[in-house]
Amino acid sequence: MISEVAMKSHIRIDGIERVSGKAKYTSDTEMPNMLFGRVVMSLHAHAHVEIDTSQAEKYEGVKAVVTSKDGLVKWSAGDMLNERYAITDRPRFVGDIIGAVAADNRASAEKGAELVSVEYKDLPAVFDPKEALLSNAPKLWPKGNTQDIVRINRGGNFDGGEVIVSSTYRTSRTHPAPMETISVLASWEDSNLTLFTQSQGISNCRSDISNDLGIPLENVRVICRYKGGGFGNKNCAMNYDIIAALLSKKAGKPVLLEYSRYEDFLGHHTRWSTEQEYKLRMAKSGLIRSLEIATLCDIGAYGRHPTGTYVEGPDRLYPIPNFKLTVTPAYTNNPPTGNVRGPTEVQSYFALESAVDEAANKVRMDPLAFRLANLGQPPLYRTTSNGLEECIRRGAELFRWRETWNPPSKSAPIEGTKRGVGMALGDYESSVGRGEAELKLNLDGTVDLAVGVTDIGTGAKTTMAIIASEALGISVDNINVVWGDTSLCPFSIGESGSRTTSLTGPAVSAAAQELISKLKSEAAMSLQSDAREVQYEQGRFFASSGSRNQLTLGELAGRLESPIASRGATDISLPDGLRRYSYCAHFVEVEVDTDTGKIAILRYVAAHDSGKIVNKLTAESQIRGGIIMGLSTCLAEKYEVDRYGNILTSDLWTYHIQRMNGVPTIDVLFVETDDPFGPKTLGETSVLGVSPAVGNAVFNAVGSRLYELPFTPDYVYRTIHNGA
Amino acid sequence: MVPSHFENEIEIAVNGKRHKLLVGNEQSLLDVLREKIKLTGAKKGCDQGACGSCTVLLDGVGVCSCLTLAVEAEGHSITTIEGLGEKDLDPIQRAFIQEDAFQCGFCTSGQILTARALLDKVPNPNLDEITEAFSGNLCRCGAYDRIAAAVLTVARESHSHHTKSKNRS
Repeated sequence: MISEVAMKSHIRIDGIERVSGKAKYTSDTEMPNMLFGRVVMSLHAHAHVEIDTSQAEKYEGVKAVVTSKDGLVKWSAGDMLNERYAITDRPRFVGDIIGAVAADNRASAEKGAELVSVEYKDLPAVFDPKEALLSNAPKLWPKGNTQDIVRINRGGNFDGGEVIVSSTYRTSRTHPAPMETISVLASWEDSNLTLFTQSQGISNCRSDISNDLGIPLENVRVICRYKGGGFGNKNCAMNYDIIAALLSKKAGKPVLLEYSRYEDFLGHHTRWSTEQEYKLRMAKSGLIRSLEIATLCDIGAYGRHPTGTYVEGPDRLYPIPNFKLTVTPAYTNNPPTGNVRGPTEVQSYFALESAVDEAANKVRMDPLAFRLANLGQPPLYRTTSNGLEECIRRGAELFRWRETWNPPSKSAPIEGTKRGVGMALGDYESSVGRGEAELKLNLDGTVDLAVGVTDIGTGAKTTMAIIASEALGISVDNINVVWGDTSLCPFSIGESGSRTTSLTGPAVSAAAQELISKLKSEAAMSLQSDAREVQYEQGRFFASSGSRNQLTLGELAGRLESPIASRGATDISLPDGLRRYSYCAHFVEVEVDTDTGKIAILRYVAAHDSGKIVNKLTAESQIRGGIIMGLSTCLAEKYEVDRYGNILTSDLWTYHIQRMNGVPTIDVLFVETDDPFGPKTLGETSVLGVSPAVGNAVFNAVGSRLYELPFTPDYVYRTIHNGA
Repeated sequence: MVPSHFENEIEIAVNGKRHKLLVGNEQSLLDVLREKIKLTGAKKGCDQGACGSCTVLLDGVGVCSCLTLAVEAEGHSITTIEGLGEKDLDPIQRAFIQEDAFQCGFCTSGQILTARALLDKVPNPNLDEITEAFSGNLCRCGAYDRIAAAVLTVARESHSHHTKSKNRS
């Protein structure tokens, strides 16, 4: 069922702070007597280190140096399988942290870090994931160079089908590269630690810090008010959070630890690269009978993806009766990997939706008709809501797919510019779970809403304010959102997995219901009625249904002796066998310059089912931003490491992220399914369709298939002219 | 970097206010604004002139304050985001809010000052001129098309305002 209620649009409640320079980010935060910290990174890819800190300690202004000699401190979010330390004595990649320095000015901290003398006892290193899996490869970890190998096997008939697509797809490492480089301010007062940090989840960060430093939860306060972009990695404590706390403890003063852009490229972790071998079999009618996938992932020196699955999506988007997946993660001495926006799905859907396009071409079908036919196979599972086919129908209509798609022609000469259109689908898990929120009606009639969200750019606190405003029937302007501070806010899942609206949103509604019910008792006294009779509508209490005896929320607040608070705590789970996803159908037109290999994106249509949209303005921005990041991943981003493990793309000149030039017109449309569990995921769904849609459009334009991300001009040129 | 013993006294006007400062010869204007004058609206995104987050106006022209030495600013007039629309928001700031031309907001000071410099020079820019002007300002959240929309909104408003007052006279 699709809901037809008009979508609301509300400007961000922190707009003025963000456009006037008033918003204070972590790196803008100061404390009296604050020191400045810098890290010492390993220059070798694999070694044992002996460290001499005496020169650094003597340097003017240096107040503290910490190394592994101060005790190894576990960073539990640093690797999913093995024990990783915040500061190690055995670096496993160039950039692994082996020490840190605090000084009373930035220049001394930098010089102090340079003066830390390191003797490297080199260990053999391995950089190729295939070599890392050989029995004689240098071992990074006692348990070996792989994590658990993921296997899914469904059906078991992999011989059926007369038409075969057999292809290998490769995706590069990409870096989240938020505009704000890493910084964290740690400060101790007796045994209480306060961290101003760039977290995507203050609740998780706090509990991780408590665990890793072995201090009680109530002694840890984590604050993140404004954060210069997220894009993954940080819904936990990060090693720099721990290091800042250690430096501050040792120095006895607050420490602002800062990373340069180069250090940030090593300090944030990248998307893992993949090599995905596909074998797809189908009937001549175009119905897919089986799909076999074998994927190798280079997860670098540490693997931080928490579920260890690394590939997700191809088993569920189409109901393919026979399905086999093997995922082999390989540890290497390359920089570590972690979650980056759409962590498992971006790579997976590039391969899946490219393979589906190849399959459609093999049986000479329109790729849209091919997809619809395959989506129509008997479903494998039940969902709470599914607007995918509606996304395809409405997206295609807006894009004018039927009028613009023509079968690719290989016979035409490869010269000049060629245009083509492509499409791709995607889905993204929409989990439900635990959320908390607190509300308080103040005597002046305003309402405080405390939610443990951090606003990394998603508009989370505006979204939460809108939910409270709708539930209470009052204006958003009368709601003060309190956020980003564990001492003021209840638990929130954090800004990852695109879950804030789905998980914290219901708690805000629940808190509003409880507040209304408490206020009804108060209103009953004023209205000389029975609380059970009192009705509440749009900010007004009525003595009873249909009564004209009424009181506004503001009037009631003025009569209270003290503020009235409420709390919402929800923990929603899906019934057994029911699954929940958001969906997208993306359509793109490209122009390929066959003389240079450059791809121009001409226009883009994105149709999304994210359930009910709370704020159309910011939802559209999230989707546009996701597509623009997706274009960056697709066309340019490649995090490169040389054969000694040195990062080659260590600044924003060499690591190419999308600029304004080349951004196409993006039309966003929402298919608002009426999901029983409310709004679904949104931010990450938007990046999934981009690379395959563009690759498919290039195929449509020039008849050559692109198998590797990114589609840089040199790769495109070679592919077109070699006829690969 | 060794703390420098080579310092110079400079006089600069920041947001209309005169400042006499002792600065290191190697110190960037960005560091002086952030650390000495405590104006943190200009951000350090790369310290290499690659991202534009530190953009300020030097005599009305957008510059990367990380690539500008503080001593080079001697005698010049500087506008930071804090000085734009000190009393009322500048029309471009209002348009950024209305058009949702930012997400995380970290690059926003630089984007807004780049927009201001463009509109002061070219009151009615076309999309190509806008793209050219913003070529040095990165936005990882991908608000580019909204930024362009905000600039076009302000251009349209001031153009229609201009035409109206012309018709009246």
